[in-house]
Amino acid sequence: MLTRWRVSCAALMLSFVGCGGKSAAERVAEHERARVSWEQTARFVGAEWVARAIPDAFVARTLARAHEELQSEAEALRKDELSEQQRALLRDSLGAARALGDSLARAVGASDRRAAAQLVDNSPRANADSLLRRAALR
Amino acid sequence: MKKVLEITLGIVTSIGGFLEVGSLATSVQAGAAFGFQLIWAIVLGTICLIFLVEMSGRLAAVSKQTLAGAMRDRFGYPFFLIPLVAMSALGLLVLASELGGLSLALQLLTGISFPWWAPLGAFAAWLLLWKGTFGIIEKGASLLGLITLVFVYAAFRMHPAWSLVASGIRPSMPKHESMHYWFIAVSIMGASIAPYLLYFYSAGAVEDKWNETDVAVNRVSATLGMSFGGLLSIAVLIVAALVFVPRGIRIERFDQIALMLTPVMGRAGFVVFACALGIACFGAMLEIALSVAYMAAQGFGWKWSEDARPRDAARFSLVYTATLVGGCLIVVIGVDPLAITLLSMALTAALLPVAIVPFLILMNDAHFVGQHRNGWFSNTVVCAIVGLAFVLAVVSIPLELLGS
Repeated sequence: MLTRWRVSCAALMLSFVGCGGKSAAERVAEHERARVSWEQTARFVGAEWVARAIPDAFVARTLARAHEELQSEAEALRKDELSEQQRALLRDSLGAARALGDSLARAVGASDRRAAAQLVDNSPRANADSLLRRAALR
Repeated sequence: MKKVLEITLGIVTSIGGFLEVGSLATSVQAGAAFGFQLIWAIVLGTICLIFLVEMSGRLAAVSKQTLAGAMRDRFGYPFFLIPLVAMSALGLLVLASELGGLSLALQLLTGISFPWWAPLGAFAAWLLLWKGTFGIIEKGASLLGLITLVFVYAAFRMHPAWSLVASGIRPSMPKHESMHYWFIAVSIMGASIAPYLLYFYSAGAVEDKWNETDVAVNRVSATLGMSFGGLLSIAVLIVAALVFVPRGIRIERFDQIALMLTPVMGRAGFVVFACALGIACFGAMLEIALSVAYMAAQGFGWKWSEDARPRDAARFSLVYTATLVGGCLIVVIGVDPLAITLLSMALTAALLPVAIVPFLILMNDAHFVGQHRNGWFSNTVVCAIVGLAFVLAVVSIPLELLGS
């Protein structure tokens, strides 16, 4: 009886783990989503700071948080068993996102709203995986 | 005229007290990740809550007993210990998430890191419970909570496509991230059908000395108040969808949520958001700490009343004090407030049968509610929604934990 119960539990856990296993395409999408989210958070915070809608301390804290999150995303990417080509593409976009966040943090630190505005407006838009976004709103 | 006033006050306090960190966080997460697609979960949760709140008021008005007291009388001590332990543990987690929300609100307003605010927030809540009366706590916090109506204003100002909003009322399968979708759906239902609210509501009805003449007032104010409250949660979801989805922002931290009103209201939006979050969480903290104390005191037959002096209801006062201290410790050790909020809401959904099934048995027992027993319709609706929430929770919580 106990053995049967144990076997059932093991089967249930295996089915959970099986459901939790993700394909390479799904993992790429997840990395992209995380990168876009924090890059866009940094951009959003920057734009609101330029518009004087949020306090300096909040901007600094959120940009630092974005930096940390992008850093840990880079770490997660390094450990992920993706193809080298996929990894390189993701690494480049993560690097660009971190560069934007760090530049914004420097502009905020120097109270340079003009530079921050330029960064928000001119840096290439995060390709905010529009397919997913449209799917979510549909 | 007096009845109309009572109903109006009941509705206003229900609206003001509806939103707390759980409903706010889950609605924002749902809106940011899935647009309007999860509105149905709020609707289902709100319908279930309307039935349950009405029932707990009816039980108190007819039997003159609180939910916890009636449960102990009907099922005996050994059984009563199960919901007591489950709800107290859950109450501690939810209180920690509310205190985390209050501390974050203060961090937003002052720039001082949130763990520093947790002891102060817990002390302020304790002081109000120690010195205040039930009326002040219930009505004061709820009236201040009307500030959360700002989300309704923002939703209208953002001119959503109402046909798309309406389409979210119909349950639909996720188009991506199905595991996360169901986890958020469960968390929304857990946040809506908060069992602590039922213990608080029935204890409040006894504190206010309701009787059978209050059954109709209770029905109207519970239905309208909770319905408007549900609309408030939907407004939060709409604003989150319109602000975060076009930007591709997924909500992983509370810092991100703080930006949701600035596109509509600028700097004022930031301040109003922080105030709304802080007030809503503070009000919920008071209710949760009191609910745990009510449940323990009523279950064990101790003297209890928020209107009594603490020395006259010493064990009751000790329980809410210990609950606040426990919640404070969880925040101070640095647990991520958003993570603890989502987890506690999902666990609430998983534990709903423990709290709700005995309650339904009581509501069908003529010994307690006489001729005011439940009809088949309310039994069926509550069983179906609680059953759905339970199944989804049992499946999605392990998957979400494994996924993350």
